[in-house]
Amino acid sequence: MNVPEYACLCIVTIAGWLALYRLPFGDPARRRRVGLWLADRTALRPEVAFALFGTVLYLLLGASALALLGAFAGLSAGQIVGRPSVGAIPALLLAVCGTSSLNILCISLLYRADPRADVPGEITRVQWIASILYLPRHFRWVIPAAAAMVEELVFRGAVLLGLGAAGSGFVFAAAFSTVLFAIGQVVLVSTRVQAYVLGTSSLALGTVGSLLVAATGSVLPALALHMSFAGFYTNLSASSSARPSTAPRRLSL
Amino acid sequence: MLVATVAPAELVRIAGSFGSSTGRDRSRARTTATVGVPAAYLVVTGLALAVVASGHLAPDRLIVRFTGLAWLVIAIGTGVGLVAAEFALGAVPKLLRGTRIVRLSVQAPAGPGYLTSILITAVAEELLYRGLWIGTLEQRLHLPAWSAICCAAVGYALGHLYFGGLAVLQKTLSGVVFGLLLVASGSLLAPVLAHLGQNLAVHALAERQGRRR
Repeated sequence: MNVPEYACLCIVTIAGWLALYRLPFGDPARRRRVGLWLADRTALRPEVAFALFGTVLYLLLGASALALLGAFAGLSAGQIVGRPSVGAIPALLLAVCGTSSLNILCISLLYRADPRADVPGEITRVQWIASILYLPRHFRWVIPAAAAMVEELVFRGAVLLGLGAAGSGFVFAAAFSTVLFAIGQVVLVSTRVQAYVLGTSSLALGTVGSLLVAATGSVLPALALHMSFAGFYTNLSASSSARPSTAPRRLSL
Repeated sequence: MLVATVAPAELVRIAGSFGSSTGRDRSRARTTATVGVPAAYLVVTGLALAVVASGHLAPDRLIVRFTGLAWLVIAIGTGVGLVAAEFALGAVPKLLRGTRIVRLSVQAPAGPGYLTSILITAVAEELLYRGLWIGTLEQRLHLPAWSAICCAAVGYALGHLYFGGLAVLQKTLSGVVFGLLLVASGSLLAPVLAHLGQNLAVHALAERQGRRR
Protein backbone atom coordinates (compact mmCIF):
# COMPACT_ATOMS: atom_id res chain seq x y z
CA MET A 1 0.00 0.00 0.00
CA ASN A 2 1.40 3.43 -0.91
CA VAL A 3 1.31 6.54 1.33
CA PRO A 4 -1.81 8.30 -0.09
CA GLU A 5 -3.82 5.06 -0.03
CA TYR A 6 -2.80 4.27 3.53
CA ALA A 7 -3.50 7.89 4.64
CA CYS A 8 -7.02 7.65 3.13
CA LEU A 9 -7.56 4.29 4.85
CA CYS A 10 -6.54 5.88 8.18
CA ILE A 11 -9.01 8.73 7.70
CA VAL A 12 -11.89 6.39 6.79
CA THR A 13 -11.15 3.93 9.61
CA ILE A 14 -10.85 6.61 12.31
CA ALA A 15 -13.91 8.49 11.02
CA GLY A 16 -15.81 5.19 11.18
CA TRP A 17 -14.59 4.55 14.75
CA LEU A 18 -15.67 7.95 15.99
CA ALA A 19 -18.94 7.98 14.01
CA LEU A 20 -20.00 4.57 15.37
CA TYR A 21 -19.14 5.75 18.89
CA ARG A 22 -20.71 9.18 18.72
CA LEU A 23 -23.62 9.29 16.26
CA PRO A 24 -25.97 6.64 17.74
CA PHE A 25 -25.77 8.33 21.14
CA GLY A 26 -25.83 12.01 20.16
CA ASP A 27 -29.48 12.25 21.20
CA PRO A 28 -29.81 12.65 25.02
CA ALA A 29 -33.19 10.86 25.02
CA ARG A 30 -31.67 7.84 23.31
CA ARG A 31 -28.75 7.89 25.76
CA ARG A 32 -31.22 7.85 28.63
CA ARG A 33 -33.20 4.97 27.09
CA VAL A 34 -30.04 2.91 26.56
CA GLY A 35 -28.92 3.72 30.12
CA LEU A 36 -32.27 2.54 31.54
CA TRP A 37 -32.17 -0.60 29.40
CA LEU A 38 -28.67 -1.40 30.63
CA ALA A 39 -29.61 -0.56 34.24
CA ASP A 40 -32.47 -3.10 34.09
CA ARG A 41 -30.02 -5.85 33.12
CA THR A 42 -27.04 -4.96 35.31
CA ALA A 43 -28.55 -3.57 38.54
CA LEU A 44 -26.32 -0.49 38.11
CA ARG A 45 -27.55 3.11 38.10
CA PRO A 46 -28.50 4.16 34.51
CA GLU A 47 -25.77 6.82 34.23
CA VAL A 48 -23.11 4.43 35.56
CA ALA A 49 -24.24 1.64 33.23
CA PHE A 50 -24.20 3.98 30.23
CA ALA A 51 -20.74 5.35 31.13
CA LEU A 52 -19.31 1.81 31.31
CA PHE A 53 -21.06 0.84 28.06
CA GLY A 54 -19.73 3.96 26.27
CA THR A 55 -16.19 3.24 27.45
CA VAL A 56 -16.27 -0.41 26.41
CA LEU A 57 -17.73 0.56 23.01
CA TYR A 58 -15.01 3.21 22.47
CA LEU A 59 -12.23 0.78 23.40
CA LEU A 60 -13.59 -2.09 21.27
CA LEU A 61 -14.07 0.16 18.22
CA GLY A 62 -10.56 1.58 18.73
CA ALA A 63 -9.09 -1.92 19.03
CA SER A 64 -10.88 -2.90 15.80
CA ALA A 65 -9.47 0.18 14.04
CA LEU A 66 -6.00 -0.77 15.31
CA ALA A 67 -6.32 -4.36 14.05
CA LEU A 68 -7.58 -3.21 10.65
CA LEU A 69 -4.85 -0.59 10.12
CA GLY A 70 -2.15 -2.94 11.44
CA ALA A 71 -3.26 -5.64 9.00
CA PHE A 72 -3.23 -3.27 6.00
CA ALA A 73 0.16 -1.80 7.01
CA GLY A 74 1.60 -5.28 7.52
CA LEU A 75 2.69 -4.42 11.07
CA SER A 76 2.73 -7.06 13.80
CA ALA A 77 1.87 -6.22 17.44
CA GLY A 78 5.59 -6.38 18.28
CA GLN A 79 6.46 -3.94 15.50
CA ILE A 80 3.72 -1.51 16.59
CA VAL A 81 4.78 -1.54 20.26
CA GLY A 82 8.55 -1.81 19.74
CA ARG A 83 11.20 -1.98 22.45
CA PRO A 84 12.35 1.29 24.06
CA SER A 85 16.05 2.13 24.33
CA VAL A 86 17.78 2.68 27.69
CA GLY A 87 17.80 6.45 27.16
CA ALA A 88 14.00 6.46 27.03
CA ILE A 89 13.49 7.31 30.72
CA PRO A 90 14.92 10.89 30.72
CA ALA A 91 13.27 11.46 27.33
CA LEU A 92 9.92 10.32 28.76
CA LEU A 93 10.29 12.53 31.85
CA LEU A 94 11.23 15.52 29.68
CA ALA A 95 8.24 14.78 27.45
CA VAL A 96 5.92 14.67 30.49
CA CYS A 97 7.18 18.11 31.64
CA GLY A 98 7.14 19.50 28.10
CA THR A 99 3.61 18.36 27.24
CA SER A 100 2.26 19.74 30.52
CA SER A 101 4.00 23.10 30.13
CA LEU A 102 2.83 23.43 26.49
CA ASN A 103 -0.70 22.55 27.55
CA ILE A 104 -0.70 25.12 30.36
CA LEU A 105 0.90 27.71 28.05
CA CYS A 106 -2.03 27.29 25.62
CA ILE A 107 -4.54 27.60 28.49
CA SER A 108 -2.70 30.72 29.72
CA LEU A 109 -3.11 32.23 26.24
CA LEU A 110 -6.84 31.42 26.41
CA TYR A 111 -7.12 33.16 29.79
CA ARG A 112 -5.34 36.19 28.31
CA ALA A 113 -7.92 36.34 25.50
CA ASP A 114 -10.89 35.59 27.77
CA PRO A 115 -10.15 36.01 31.51
CA ARG A 116 -13.62 34.76 32.44
CA ALA A 117 -13.27 31.40 30.66
CA ASP A 118 -14.10 28.48 32.97
CA VAL A 119 -11.69 25.84 31.69
CA PRO A 120 -12.18 23.22 34.47
CA GLY A 121 -15.97 23.55 34.18
CA GLU A 122 -15.88 23.27 30.39
CA ILE A 123 -13.65 20.19 30.49
CA THR A 124 -15.90 18.39 32.97
CA ARG A 125 -18.86 19.14 30.66
CA VAL A 126 -17.22 17.26 27.76
CA GLN A 127 -19.69 14.40 27.28
CA TRP A 128 -17.36 11.45 27.87
CA ILE A 129 -15.64 13.13 30.83
CA ALA A 130 -19.01 14.06 32.37
CA SER A 131 -20.13 10.44 32.04
CA ILE A 132 -17.10 8.99 33.85
CA LEU A 133 -17.58 11.42 36.76
CA TYR A 134 -20.63 9.30 37.67
CA LEU A 135 -18.32 6.35 38.29
CA PRO A 136 -16.36 5.60 41.49
CA ARG A 137 -13.29 7.82 41.95
CA HIS A 138 -10.61 5.33 40.82
CA PHE A 139 -12.39 4.97 37.46
CA ARG A 140 -11.41 8.59 36.77
CA TRP A 141 -7.86 7.30 36.36
CA VAL A 142 -8.57 3.92 34.80
CA ILE A 143 -10.92 4.99 32.00
CA PRO A 144 -8.92 7.97 30.61
CA ALA A 145 -5.75 5.83 30.81
CA ALA A 146 -7.41 2.92 28.96
CA ALA A 147 -8.77 5.26 26.27
CA ALA A 148 -5.32 6.89 25.99
CA MET A 149 -3.69 3.48 25.55
CA VAL A 150 -5.94 2.55 22.62
CA GLU A 151 -5.60 6.04 21.06
CA GLU A 152 -1.83 5.94 21.32
CA LEU A 153 -1.58 2.47 19.79
CA VAL A 154 -3.81 3.64 16.91
CA PHE A 155 -2.34 7.10 16.23
CA ARG A 156 1.35 6.71 17.13
CA GLY A 157 1.39 2.96 16.43
CA ALA A 158 -0.77 2.09 13.44
CA VAL A 159 -0.97 5.54 11.79
CA LEU A 160 2.54 6.96 12.39
CA LEU A 161 4.48 3.69 12.02
CA GLY A 162 2.11 2.45 9.29
CA LEU A 163 2.78 5.57 7.22
CA GLY A 164 6.51 5.04 7.83
CA ALA A 165 6.19 1.43 6.65
CA ALA A 166 4.33 2.66 3.55
CA GLY A 167 7.30 4.88 2.68
CA SER A 168 6.35 8.25 4.17
CA GLY A 169 8.93 10.60 5.68
CA PHE A 170 8.82 11.22 9.45
CA VAL A 171 7.62 14.86 9.24
CA PHE A 172 4.56 14.03 7.13
CA ALA A 173 3.72 10.92 9.19
CA ALA A 174 4.05 12.86 12.48
CA ALA A 175 2.03 15.84 11.22
CA PHE A 176 -0.68 13.61 9.72
CA SER A 177 -1.09 11.42 12.82
CA THR A 178 -1.07 14.47 15.11
CA VAL A 179 -3.66 16.42 13.12
CA LEU A 180 -5.87 13.34 12.73
CA PHE A 181 -5.66 12.75 16.49
CA ALA A 182 -6.52 16.39 17.28
CA ILE A 183 -9.50 16.37 14.86
CA GLY A 184 -10.66 13.12 16.46
CA GLN A 185 -10.69 14.83 19.87
CA VAL A 186 -12.29 18.06 18.67
CA VAL A 187 -15.26 16.32 16.99
CA LEU A 188 -16.21 14.80 20.36
CA VAL A 189 -16.77 18.20 22.05
CA SER A 190 -19.56 20.74 21.86
CA THR A 191 -18.22 24.23 22.73
CA ARG A 192 -15.42 26.48 21.45
CA VAL A 193 -13.51 26.46 24.75
CA GLN A 194 -13.65 22.65 24.89
CA ALA A 195 -12.48 22.48 21.25
CA TYR A 196 -9.58 24.89 21.93
CA VAL A 197 -8.40 23.13 25.09
CA LEU A 198 -8.69 19.58 23.77
CA GLY A 199 -7.43 20.61 20.31
CA THR A 200 -4.28 22.35 21.58
CA SER A 201 -3.55 19.66 24.17
CA SER A 202 -3.97 16.99 21.47
CA LEU A 203 -1.59 18.86 19.16
CA ALA A 204 0.98 19.13 21.97
CA LEU A 205 0.54 15.48 22.95
CA GLY A 206 0.65 14.30 19.33
CA THR A 207 3.77 16.31 18.48
CA VAL A 208 5.70 15.30 21.60
CA GLY A 209 4.44 11.70 21.34
CA SER A 210 5.56 11.38 17.71
CA LEU A 211 9.00 12.78 18.55
CA LEU A 212 9.22 10.42 21.51
CA VAL A 213 8.45 7.42 19.27
CA ALA A 214 11.19 8.56 16.88
CA ALA A 215 13.69 9.20 19.68
CA THR A 216 13.11 5.96 21.62
CA GLY A 217 12.12 3.54 18.82
CA SER A 218 9.01 2.43 20.69
CA VAL A 219 5.39 3.46 21.28
CA LEU A 220 5.63 2.50 24.98
CA PRO A 221 7.08 5.84 26.29
CA ALA A 222 4.48 7.79 24.28
CA LEU A 223 1.83 5.45 25.67
CA ALA A 224 2.99 6.12 29.25
CA LEU A 225 3.02 9.88 28.50
CA HIS A 226 -0.53 9.87 27.10
CA MET A 227 -1.98 7.63 29.85
CA SER A 228 -0.52 9.76 32.66
CA PHE A 229 -1.53 13.00 30.91
CA ALA A 230 -5.15 11.91 30.32
CA GLY A 231 -5.61 10.51 33.84
CA PHE A 232 -3.98 13.48 35.54
CA TYR A 233 -5.83 16.24 33.68
CA THR A 234 -9.22 14.52 33.90
CA ASN A 235 -8.81 14.33 37.68
CA LEU A 236 -7.40 17.85 37.93
CA SER A 237 -10.32 19.32 35.98
CA ALA A 238 -12.83 17.36 38.05
CA SER A 239 -11.30 18.46 41.37
CA SER A 240 -10.87 22.10 40.25
CA SER A 241 -14.41 22.24 38.95
CA ALA A 242 -15.85 20.74 42.15
CA ARG A 243 -14.12 23.40 44.28
CA PRO A 244 -16.12 26.48 45.38
CA SER A 245 -15.61 29.33 42.91
CA THR A 246 -12.87 31.82 43.82
CA ALA A 247 -12.95 33.77 40.53
CA PRO A 248 -10.78 34.73 38.78
CA ARG A 249 -9.21 31.25 38.88
CA ARG A 250 -6.28 32.04 36.62
CA LEU A 251 -3.88 29.69 38.33
CA SER A 252 -6.24 26.75 38.01
CA LEU A 253 -6.63 24.43 35.07
CA MET B 1 14.10 18.54 23.33
CA LEU B 2 13.25 21.97 21.88
CA VAL B 3 9.48 21.37 21.85
CA ALA B 4 9.51 20.05 25.42
CA THR B 5 11.39 23.01 26.91
CA VAL B 6 9.39 26.00 25.64
CA ALA B 7 7.88 27.21 28.90
CA PRO B 8 9.03 25.32 32.03
CA ALA B 9 7.76 28.10 34.32
CA GLU B 10 4.19 27.26 33.30
CA LEU B 11 4.57 23.96 35.21
CA VAL B 12 4.22 25.83 38.51
CA ARG B 13 0.61 26.60 37.60
CA ILE B 14 -0.17 22.91 38.18
CA ALA B 15 0.92 23.37 41.79
CA GLY B 16 -1.33 26.44 41.90
CA SER B 17 -4.39 24.39 41.03
CA PHE B 18 -4.17 22.14 44.10
CA GLY B 19 -5.84 23.17 47.35
CA SER B 20 -7.90 26.21 48.21
CA SER B 21 -6.44 29.61 47.31
CA THR B 22 -8.64 31.71 49.60
CA GLY B 23 -6.59 34.08 51.75
CA ARG B 24 -3.26 32.51 50.78
CA ASP B 25 -2.66 34.07 47.36
CA ARG B 26 0.22 36.33 48.43
CA SER B 27 2.07 33.59 50.29
CA ARG B 28 1.54 31.19 47.39
CA ALA B 29 2.79 33.72 44.83
CA ARG B 30 5.95 34.21 46.90
CA THR B 31 6.53 30.46 47.21
CA THR B 32 5.94 30.07 43.48
CA ALA B 33 8.50 32.76 42.69
CA THR B 34 11.19 31.59 45.11
CA VAL B 35 10.81 27.81 44.91
CA GLY B 36 8.52 26.75 42.07
CA VAL B 37 10.04 28.61 39.12
CA PRO B 38 13.72 27.74 39.78
CA ALA B 39 12.74 24.13 40.59
CA ALA B 40 10.85 23.85 37.28
CA TYR B 41 13.80 25.29 35.33
CA LEU B 42 16.31 23.05 37.12
CA VAL B 43 14.29 19.88 36.52
CA VAL B 44 13.61 20.64 32.85
CA THR B 45 17.19 21.78 32.14
CA GLY B 46 18.59 18.72 33.92
CA LEU B 47 16.36 16.39 31.91
CA ALA B 48 17.20 18.15 28.64
CA LEU B 49 20.93 17.85 29.39
CA ALA B 50 20.45 14.15 30.25
CA VAL B 51 18.61 13.57 26.96
CA VAL B 52 21.28 15.23 24.80
CA ALA B 53 24.08 13.53 26.77
CA SER B 54 22.50 10.07 26.43
CA GLY B 55 22.12 10.60 22.67
CA HIS B 56 25.67 12.05 22.31
CA LEU B 57 24.03 15.22 20.95
CA ALA B 58 25.52 17.81 23.33
CA PRO B 59 26.16 20.96 21.25
CA ASP B 60 29.45 22.89 21.32
CA ARG B 61 27.62 26.03 22.51
CA LEU B 62 27.42 24.47 25.99
CA ILE B 63 31.17 25.07 26.40
CA VAL B 64 32.02 27.48 29.23
CA ARG B 65 35.53 28.98 29.04
CA PHE B 66 37.17 32.20 30.13
CA THR B 67 37.51 34.46 27.08
CA GLY B 68 39.26 37.42 28.71
CA LEU B 69 38.56 40.17 31.22
CA ALA B 70 37.10 42.45 28.53
CA TRP B 71 34.24 40.02 27.84
CA LEU B 72 33.60 39.73 31.57
CA VAL B 73 33.16 43.51 31.86
CA ILE B 74 31.13 43.76 28.64
CA ALA B 75 28.82 40.93 29.76
CA ILE B 76 28.07 42.38 33.20
CA GLY B 77 27.67 45.89 31.75
CA THR B 78 25.31 44.59 29.07
CA GLY B 79 23.23 42.78 31.68
CA VAL B 80 22.81 45.94 33.79
CA GLY B 81 22.11 47.96 30.64
CA LEU B 82 19.39 45.50 29.67
CA VAL B 83 17.46 46.43 32.83
CA ALA B 84 17.24 49.99 31.51
CA ALA B 85 16.32 48.71 28.04
CA GLU B 86 13.51 46.56 29.46
CA PHE B 87 12.22 49.53 31.50
CA ALA B 88 12.29 51.68 28.35
CA LEU B 89 10.37 49.04 26.40
CA GLY B 90 7.87 48.78 29.24
CA ALA B 91 7.35 52.55 29.19
CA VAL B 92 6.51 52.68 25.47
CA PRO B 93 2.83 51.61 25.78
CA LYS B 94 2.27 54.19 28.57
CA LEU B 95 3.93 56.97 26.57
CA LEU B 96 1.85 56.04 23.52
CA ARG B 97 -1.29 56.34 25.68
CA GLY B 98 -0.26 59.92 26.50
CA THR B 99 1.05 59.43 30.06
CA ARG B 100 3.54 62.23 30.73
CA ILE B 101 5.15 61.00 33.93
CA VAL B 102 6.02 57.34 33.86
CA ARG B 103 6.73 55.65 37.18
CA LEU B 104 8.25 52.24 36.86
CA SER B 105 8.30 49.62 39.56
CA VAL B 106 9.94 46.22 39.93
CA GLN B 107 7.54 43.27 40.10
CA ALA B 108 9.81 41.26 42.37
CA PRO B 109 9.82 40.52 46.09
CA ALA B 110 13.10 41.44 47.79
CA GLY B 111 14.94 39.04 50.09
CA PRO B 112 17.72 36.44 50.13
CA GLY B 113 15.40 33.58 49.09
CA TYR B 114 14.30 35.42 46.01
CA LEU B 115 17.88 36.45 45.19
CA THR B 116 19.01 32.81 45.28
CA SER B 117 16.09 31.74 43.12
CA ILE B 118 16.70 34.33 40.38
CA LEU B 119 20.42 33.49 40.25
CA ILE B 120 19.71 29.75 39.93
CA THR B 121 17.02 30.42 37.30
CA ALA B 122 19.39 32.66 35.31
CA VAL B 123 22.05 29.93 35.05
CA ALA B 124 19.45 27.27 34.14
CA GLU B 125 17.89 29.54 31.49
CA GLU B 126 21.26 30.26 29.88
CA LEU B 127 22.19 26.55 29.79
CA LEU B 128 18.81 25.77 28.26
CA TYR B 129 18.07 28.59 25.81
CA ARG B 130 21.53 29.75 24.81
CA GLY B 131 23.65 26.59 25.25
CA LEU B 132 21.16 23.90 24.24
CA TRP B 133 18.70 25.76 22.02
CA ILE B 134 21.13 27.85 19.95
CA GLY B 135 23.63 24.97 19.80
CA THR B 136 21.01 22.43 18.70
CA LEU B 137 19.38 24.78 16.17
CA GLU B 138 22.77 25.54 14.62
CA GLN B 139 24.36 22.08 14.73
CA ARG B 140 21.39 19.72 14.27
CA LEU B 141 18.87 21.79 12.31
CA HIS B 142 21.58 23.80 10.46
CA LEU B 143 19.95 27.19 11.05
CA PRO B 144 22.13 30.29 10.59
CA ALA B 145 23.31 31.88 13.86
CA TRP B 146 20.94 34.92 13.65
CA SER B 147 17.96 32.65 13.11
CA ALA B 148 18.95 30.34 15.97
CA ILE B 149 19.40 33.39 18.26
CA CYS B 150 15.91 34.70 17.38
CA CYS B 151 14.22 31.28 17.84
CA ALA B 152 15.95 30.78 21.20
CA ALA B 153 14.96 34.32 22.28
CA VAL B 154 11.29 33.64 21.48
CA GLY B 155 11.44 30.28 23.31
CA TYR B 156 13.02 32.01 26.31
CA ALA B 157 10.48 34.86 26.21
CA LEU B 158 7.46 32.52 26.05
CA GLY B 159 8.60 31.13 29.40
CA HIS B 160 7.80 34.56 30.86
CA LEU B 161 4.16 34.68 29.74
CA TYR B 162 3.43 33.96 33.41
CA PHE B 163 4.42 37.63 34.09
CA GLY B 164 2.29 39.12 31.30
CA GLY B 165 2.38 39.91 27.59
CA LEU B 166 4.72 42.90 27.97
CA ALA B 167 7.26 40.69 29.78
CA VAL B 168 7.36 38.44 26.69
CA LEU B 169 8.42 41.41 24.53
CA GLN B 170 10.98 42.58 27.09
CA LYS B 171 12.47 39.10 27.41
CA THR B 172 12.62 38.64 23.64
CA LEU B 173 14.90 41.70 23.54
CA SER B 174 17.04 40.34 26.39
CA GLY B 175 17.13 36.90 24.77
CA VAL B 176 18.44 38.31 21.49
CA VAL B 177 21.18 40.26 23.34
CA PHE B 178 22.21 37.20 25.40
CA GLY B 179 22.33 35.16 22.18
CA LEU B 180 24.52 37.77 20.49
CA LEU B 181 26.86 37.71 23.48
CA LEU B 182 27.16 33.91 23.20
CA VAL B 183 27.96 33.97 19.49
CA ALA B 184 30.28 36.98 19.70
CA SER B 185 32.28 35.77 22.71
CA GLY B 186 32.25 32.05 21.79
CA SER B 187 31.56 31.06 25.39
CA LEU B 188 28.44 30.47 27.45
CA LEU B 189 30.13 32.36 30.29
CA ALA B 190 29.29 35.76 28.72
CA PRO B 191 25.48 35.36 28.58
CA VAL B 192 25.50 33.68 32.02
CA LEU B 193 27.34 36.67 33.53
CA ALA B 194 25.11 39.15 31.68
CA HIS B 195 21.98 37.38 32.93
CA LEU B 196 23.34 37.26 36.50
CA GLY B 197 24.20 40.98 36.24
CA GLN B 198 20.70 41.78 35.02
CA ASN B 199 19.01 39.79 37.79
CA LEU B 200 21.28 41.29 40.49
CA ALA B 201 20.45 44.79 39.24
CA VAL B 202 16.71 44.01 39.32
CA HIS B 203 17.07 42.62 42.84
CA ALA B 204 18.96 45.74 43.98
CA LEU B 205 16.13 47.90 42.60
CA ALA B 206 13.55 45.71 44.37
CA GLU B 207 15.43 46.14 47.67
CA ARG B 208 15.54 49.92 47.16
CA GLN B 209 11.85 50.00 46.28
CA GLY B 210 11.05 47.94 49.39
CA ARG B 211 12.99 50.36 51.66
CA ARG B 212 11.13 53.38 50.22
CA ARG B 213 7.77 51.81 51.03
